[in-house]
Amino acid sequence: MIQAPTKTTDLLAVTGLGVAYGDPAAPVRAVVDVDLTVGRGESVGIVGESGSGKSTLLRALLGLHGSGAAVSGGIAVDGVQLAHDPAAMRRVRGGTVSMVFQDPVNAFNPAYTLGSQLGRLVALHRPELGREQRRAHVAAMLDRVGIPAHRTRSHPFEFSQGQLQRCMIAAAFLAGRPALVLADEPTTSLDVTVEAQIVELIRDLRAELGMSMVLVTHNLGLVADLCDRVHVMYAGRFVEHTTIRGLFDSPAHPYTRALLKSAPDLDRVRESRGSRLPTMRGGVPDLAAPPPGCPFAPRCDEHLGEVCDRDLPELLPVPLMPAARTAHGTAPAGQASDTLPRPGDVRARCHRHAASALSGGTAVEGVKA
Amino acid sequence: MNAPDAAEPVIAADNLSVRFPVHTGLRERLRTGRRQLHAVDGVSLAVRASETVALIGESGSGKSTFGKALLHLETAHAGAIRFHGDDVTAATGDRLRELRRRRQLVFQNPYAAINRRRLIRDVIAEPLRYHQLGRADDRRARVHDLAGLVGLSPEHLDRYPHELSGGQLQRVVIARALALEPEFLVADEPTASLDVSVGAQIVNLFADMRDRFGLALLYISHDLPTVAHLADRIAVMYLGRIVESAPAAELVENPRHPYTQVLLASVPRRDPGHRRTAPARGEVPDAADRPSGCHFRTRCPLAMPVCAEQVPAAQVHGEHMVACHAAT
Ligand SMILES: Nc1ncnc2c1ncn2[C@@H]1O[C@H](COP(=O)(O)OP(=O)(O)OP(=O)(O)O)[C@@H](O)[C@H]1O
Ligand SMILES: Nc1ncnc2c1ncn2[C@@H]1O[C@H](COP(=O)(O)OP(=O)(O)OP(=O)(O)O)[C@@H](O)[C@H]1O
Ligand code: SF4
Ligand SMILES: [Mg+2]
Ligand SMILES: [Mg+2]
Repeated sequence: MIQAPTKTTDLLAVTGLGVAYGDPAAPVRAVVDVDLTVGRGESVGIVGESGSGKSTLLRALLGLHGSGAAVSGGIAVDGVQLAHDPAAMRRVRGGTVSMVFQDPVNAFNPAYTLGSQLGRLVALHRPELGREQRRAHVAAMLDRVGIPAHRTRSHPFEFSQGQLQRCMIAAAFLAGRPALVLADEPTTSLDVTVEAQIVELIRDLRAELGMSMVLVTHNLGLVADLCDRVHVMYAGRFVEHTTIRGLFDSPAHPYTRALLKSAPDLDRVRESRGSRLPTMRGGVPDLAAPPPGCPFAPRCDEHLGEVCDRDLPELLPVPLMPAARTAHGTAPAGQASDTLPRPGDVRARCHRHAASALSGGTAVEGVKA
Repeated sequence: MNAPDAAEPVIAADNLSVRFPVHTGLRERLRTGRRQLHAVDGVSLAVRASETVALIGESGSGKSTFGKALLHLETAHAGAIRFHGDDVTAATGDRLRELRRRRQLVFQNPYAAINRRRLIRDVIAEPLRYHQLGRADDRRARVHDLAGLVGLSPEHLDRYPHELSGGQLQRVVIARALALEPEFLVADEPTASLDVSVGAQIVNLFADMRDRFGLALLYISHDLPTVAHLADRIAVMYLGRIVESAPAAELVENPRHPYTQVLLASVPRRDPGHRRTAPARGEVPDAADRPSGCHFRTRCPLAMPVCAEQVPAAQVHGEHMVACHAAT
């Protein structure tokens, strides 16, 4: 296994993480052998197909995987191993590490007003604040996500989905002083203008407080706006690790390439209307009985034959590709997106790259994007 | 499903309004009286057979409330709902039950819409059972077909809701809504929790339903590229009102309301020369305390004195409607 050198200062260091649900005889292996490091102040994106294990991974990092799941591997925050230490995990949860959950409705208790729930959170993490200060803090938190202060008297069902999502963002980022926020699809219910405000808020907080983040999203524009580098997940495994520029300009894994092709393009509306959007044939493998070879092999357009069906490819460094502009264009102009990948930055789990790495050739020669 | 008269909308809202109470402190209530939040304020909109109308707009602008009110899932405070020309605003009993069968909703939040103690296969079969359609084994086969349509595998059917991912559960809700082959469907952010490739599959499925069965679709979404691809018309909502509506390509290429222009400018593009511009300046106003005149004026780059005084009237040029004092 090749791995980025783990500096002792990494805020989060996950090694060989696995999560399996259900019957131990035929487990659903939702996360398999995942290595993930996040440095101080760094923001790492995770993208991937629906059901590929992204939420499972985030929940396991905080020990929120539920009793039906078996977790293996190491999870260190600030150098402290938490994986098999529920007490240490509890101390970190909500304090050093907070989380934005994918489902904003269940994240709140339906029986209490939003003000009282946020107030309780603030009291927990900022015990030094008095009653009035606490109330002012809650109002200020809501203000930063565009929710009027009188809404503290409303119950969760009285909010629109996007409003509730913003309340949760406020709770995770602003109630305490987290060093790391795990954000699971935080902006799915927000329109582009409100999303842009949230992007600004997160950028400001990262600049002010040096906050780190792991962002799970299917919104590639958001990844470009907020992340320094990105992992692509497929069927429980990381299949590519790349920079933002690398993701858009020279995606290395065939799954990543197919993913980028499916998105409709606002600049080509007249041509695409009336036609169907390109999709990938087939579906994700059954995680309880994955195929022996590459998990993407049954759907891969760049399949190499027998080797892909037989052997699981390893996550290996991809020799640098010329910054070819691919069919889907280039990275949206963003902050973090302007760094070109450097040697060793890009790794992919695909036999094509293993083959070209051995022969020393340029990686994606002959690969049509 | 027989194709009805193409000119007659399947469903139409006339001046529909929905209001909610606002919780205020006692002192404020004594001073200003009870306040109300105008979630939907006089919205008119029609959807024909084989037509897709998209509703876009800021978070909290009233899109979900409008969609639910159209389906009698939220009480309209004023206005009328017509189904194939009949006024059904006050429908009850058997009539309402029949309407429930012919009109469906894909809920914005799949978790809130599903009974957690039921197996996925029973969740999808629920409407078939409720309306007593088909024999048990027919229903079983139908559930398998529906699961396949939305890209779920057979092994997902024997799980409980909490054993699926967010996107898988979203697809369960879509399968359930399609089970009765509705004539009219409100899909509220149906692809928001899906990656682009699975989302594309669902969008194609809606397009098939529309072309093959004449489905009338109200598609609520903030995903502009998808909306522009799928919809025939796009209506833009801001604080309870429709501020612009036009054929999809026309709206994207020639937006006339300043809010629509801001919205389009904020969409990330693939064109390397394009930069995402900053969001509209200023705070999103409070829905319980909307600015007078044009609700967008506090954030509008083109605001003039008249914008504070008069509600801009709808100007119609062919199929393009815009409500803005600055639009000519
Ligand atoms: N049951 C309710 N009681 C009180 N207020 C409500 C209720 N439901 C919605 N609202 C308010 O009505 C307004 C419109 O909400 P709605 O859910 O329709 O917005 P939306 O456009 O769907 O937003 P989003 O894009 O965030 O889902 C919001 O200000 C919301 O807080
Ligand atoms: N409790 C459980 N028991 C069995 N399988 C489960 C359970 N929870 C999740 N799964 C399965 O594990 C896989 C990973 O789920 P997860 O929620 O992590 O996916 P995800 O990548 O977050 O997807 P999405 O983008 O749709 O939210 C899915 O295939 C799901 O069906
Ligand atoms: S290993 Fe083979 S099947 Fe898998 S992605 Fe690479 S080329 Fe495709
Ligand atoms: Mg998830
Ligand atoms: Mg909504």
